Amino acid sequence: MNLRAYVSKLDWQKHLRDPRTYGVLEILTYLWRTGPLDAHRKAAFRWGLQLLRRAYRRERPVVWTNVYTPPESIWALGGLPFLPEVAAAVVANVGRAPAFLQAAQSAWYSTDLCSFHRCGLGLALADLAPRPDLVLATGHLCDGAVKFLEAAAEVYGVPFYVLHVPYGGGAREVRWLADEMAALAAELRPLLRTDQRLQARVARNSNLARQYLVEINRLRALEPTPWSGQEALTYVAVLFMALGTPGGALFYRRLYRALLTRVRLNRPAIPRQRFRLLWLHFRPYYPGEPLSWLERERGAVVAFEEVHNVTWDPLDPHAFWSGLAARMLGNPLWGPARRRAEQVLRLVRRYRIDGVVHFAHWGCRQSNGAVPVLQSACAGAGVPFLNLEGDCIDARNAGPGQMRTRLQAFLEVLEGRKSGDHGRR
Amino acid sequence: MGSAFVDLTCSYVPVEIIRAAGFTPRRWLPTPVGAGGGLPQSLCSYARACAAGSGAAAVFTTCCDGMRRCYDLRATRGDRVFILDLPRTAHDAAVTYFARELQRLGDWLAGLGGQAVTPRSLAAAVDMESGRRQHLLRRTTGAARAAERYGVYLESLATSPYQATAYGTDAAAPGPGEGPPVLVTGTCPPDPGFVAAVEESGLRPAGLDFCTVIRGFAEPPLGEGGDPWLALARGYLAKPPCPRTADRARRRAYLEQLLDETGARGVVAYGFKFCDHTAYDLGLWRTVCRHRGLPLLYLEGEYGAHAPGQFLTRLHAFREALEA
Amino acid sequence: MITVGVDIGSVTTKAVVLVDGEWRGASLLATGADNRGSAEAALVRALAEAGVKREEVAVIVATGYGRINAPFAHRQVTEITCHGKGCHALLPQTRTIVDVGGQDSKVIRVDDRGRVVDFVMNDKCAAGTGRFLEVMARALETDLAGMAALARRAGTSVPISSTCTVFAESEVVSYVAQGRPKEEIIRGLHEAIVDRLEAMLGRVGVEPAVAMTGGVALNRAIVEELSRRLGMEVHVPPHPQLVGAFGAALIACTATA
Repeated sequence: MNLRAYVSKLDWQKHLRDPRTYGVLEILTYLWRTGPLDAHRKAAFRWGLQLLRRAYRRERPVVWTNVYTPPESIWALGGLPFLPEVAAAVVANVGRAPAFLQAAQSAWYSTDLCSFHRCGLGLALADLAPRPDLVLATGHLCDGAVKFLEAAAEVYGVPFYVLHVPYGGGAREVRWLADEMAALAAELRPLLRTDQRLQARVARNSNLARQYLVEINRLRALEPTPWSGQEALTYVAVLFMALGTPGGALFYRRLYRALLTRVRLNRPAIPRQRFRLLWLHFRPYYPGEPLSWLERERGAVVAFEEVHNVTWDPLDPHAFWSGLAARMLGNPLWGPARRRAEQVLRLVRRYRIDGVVHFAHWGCRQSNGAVPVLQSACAGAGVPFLNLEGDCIDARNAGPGQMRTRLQAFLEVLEGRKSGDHGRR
Repeated sequence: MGSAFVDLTCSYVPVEIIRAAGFTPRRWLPTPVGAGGGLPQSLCSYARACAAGSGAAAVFTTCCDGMRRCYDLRATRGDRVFILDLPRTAHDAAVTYFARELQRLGDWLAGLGGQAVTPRSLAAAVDMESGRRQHLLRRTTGAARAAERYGVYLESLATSPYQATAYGTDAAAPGPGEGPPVLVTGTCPPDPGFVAAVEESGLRPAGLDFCTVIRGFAEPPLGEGGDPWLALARGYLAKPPCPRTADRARRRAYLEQLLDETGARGVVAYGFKFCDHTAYDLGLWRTVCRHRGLPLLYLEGEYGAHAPGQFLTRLHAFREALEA
Repeated sequence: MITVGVDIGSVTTKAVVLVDGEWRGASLLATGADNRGSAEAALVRALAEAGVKREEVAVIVATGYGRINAPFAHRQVTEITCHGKGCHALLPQTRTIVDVGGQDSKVIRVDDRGRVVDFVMNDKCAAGTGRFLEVMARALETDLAGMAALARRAGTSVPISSTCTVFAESEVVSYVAQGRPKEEIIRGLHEAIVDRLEAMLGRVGVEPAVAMTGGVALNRAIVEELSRRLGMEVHVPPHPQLVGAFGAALIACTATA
């Protein structure tokens, strides 16, 4: 049989929507031999396949939502969170984003809008993603997320809910938001049900994952740092989707062991580490993205990224909604930009950072708009700051040569600071 | 008037509170800054213009990411700025939340040297604004052309935002050379230039859906008794929904009503580049127009930019299509 | 010791030859579609002017967008660092450099040793670059050389978009149709470029002395307008287009020490 001919004739769309596809792939993962250094990758991959299988099989109500919505809230409601923004990153990673971006553009969605959202809309218009039973948007971190999810709900003709996340972070706001979440849970009762036992289970898994993540973050402060930022910014999807599940806890446990092993064996993921960078926002997810080059060829390792900073307390199962409300309100990326700037400076100190890189994803007004404040804070602290313009999803929107020029120039700045001149051969 | 100005950057800031605190509310439409302003160029040009500051205290809302970041930048500079957290819906919990936010605004204004805002002073402010609204309606009804009417609205905003009946339309008076009636929708053009361009192309703006006109209208039911802060919050959240509102059904109902009342035969949508709310609202406009069999023209520009030749060509073509 | 710096830009390729740190030869030619060929040609020409044989050259540093297309180069350094080094060497009091080339513009802050402290670049759109002026010159049926003189002659200007070349060109066409004098339009264009530069300077911060490099620095009207906006003199080093190549050649000197 001619395999290539067979593959070329496959109805990819039909197979992508078929839960059995993911079941088969899941079985095939048993053939994937891993060791202590990469068992976490297999755990994440399997978890992702299971999620898709269950979503396409509609084992539970599928809830579309945006990143930074605590996934525990949906797991505890008995739902299955699906994040089209994460799906967009996966689609970009396999080089397939342009078709979905084009579909959104053809439906009149401006190319000035965030490409995570446009790609997500494209997936909705193509009806390739698991269909939602309802769509829930939280008002943080950005306007675009609320609006694109509202549009997606209209595409599918399903109910749309928006949870307003207060701008202030005081006790009164936490109570208000917790009450809103409880009220929403009650309103969703016909479709989604929560109870104390389920909340307790989700809280337990979440807290276990959190515990490991705290330890992981501690290891990453070592020199050399054991992990690569490129991989960390890949598995940020686990943070957004799997917290509260046994699979999420398993991933972080295996990741912690992998990094501990690397530390013990003195085998960091990036062998040569000349500079330690702090990365702000996400990274490009398409093939040929610059982070691999930056870390592996130039020795500028992303020692930490702001998105993985653990800023929340363990969940109390008896105050479930309050705990999640406090987490959302306590996120330094929400609210005034000075909170984010303060976190950046703390992370610079904790991780002994040589330079800060903010990835200015096209269309991300909330993050890019904060750059003047971030830049000023870093300048005040004497920390080199690079605002790197690009696009996380659309490779056509970012010149690789231009990005490398900026990154290389930034490294020359860092080199100048370290060595005192422009270097000897 | 004699009292200091407080600049407002969003029509959801109740002018009554500003007035009750003893200040003069002013909807701020600053000079455009082009490439400057201090904020990244990938933000809306209105937000970038607001980064400059007028010297007066200013009230922002969380209406959009751009304005939030504008507030952040000005706050770090030490400007006297306040940010009002604006809910996206109008349900009871949102009203309660917004009422508390409004009280916080009142406290801030008192801290600026203003008077304490009381139920009595609020009621008096509502009466005053109501009177100004009536006066404004009388003035604009007499104006012959839409551009002239818009100029009157802008003039009133420069000293005090106006009010009118919720869902009220600015009645189109016969102008020279009546053309096909169109509804013009957008955000906050700082001058009548765009409206004038629509008229010059031979179209007749039968209604202006800008947040500096119809959508700025609110009628807080303060006369009904009860907590005045709640009434104010409810009244403002219930005013004509803007593209930011996360209640598509309500926004759609409002658009349909506008089209019914104006008898528009087409829609001209004018968006500022990098305004995400307008960009997403376009989808809703397209749905509504398709459902009604109405043509829609979308023009994208910048805050304060004069309508270039490209706009006129499109407007002319749109008129020709409507007249065909 | 002989070193060479080659700056392969998107529009022009430049080379500078230094002998014991002293400027001996230089070349400038159009890059065209063959980066590698133009880099080689620029090198050969500069060496000829310097009267130096290729085998006598100790180190060659390549810079500019096409720097990866100079296989004869021993090192590649970005044009940001090279402009910083080169301009500071020519004007030691420089702390802020505005470089406006054919297709990009940048603002670079350096310390007292010419080391880059911060920078910002625009190479994603033509607004604020030499390309902007080229496009407008075509729309106004004039040439680049004459534009500065026309701009200086105007008593007033028309407002033109500083954020988008396409918008700006459309505005120019409208003004021409309205019969506005060419001088006023050109002055408006110059002001639009300076608006853009001023915004970039705002992001990086202005520390005197300020210098301007790149081909557009030869336009006195732009330099004067920028000086007026900043309230301080904007210095232009000799041969502003060659500063990047010069900086690369200087870096080549330190690379061999």
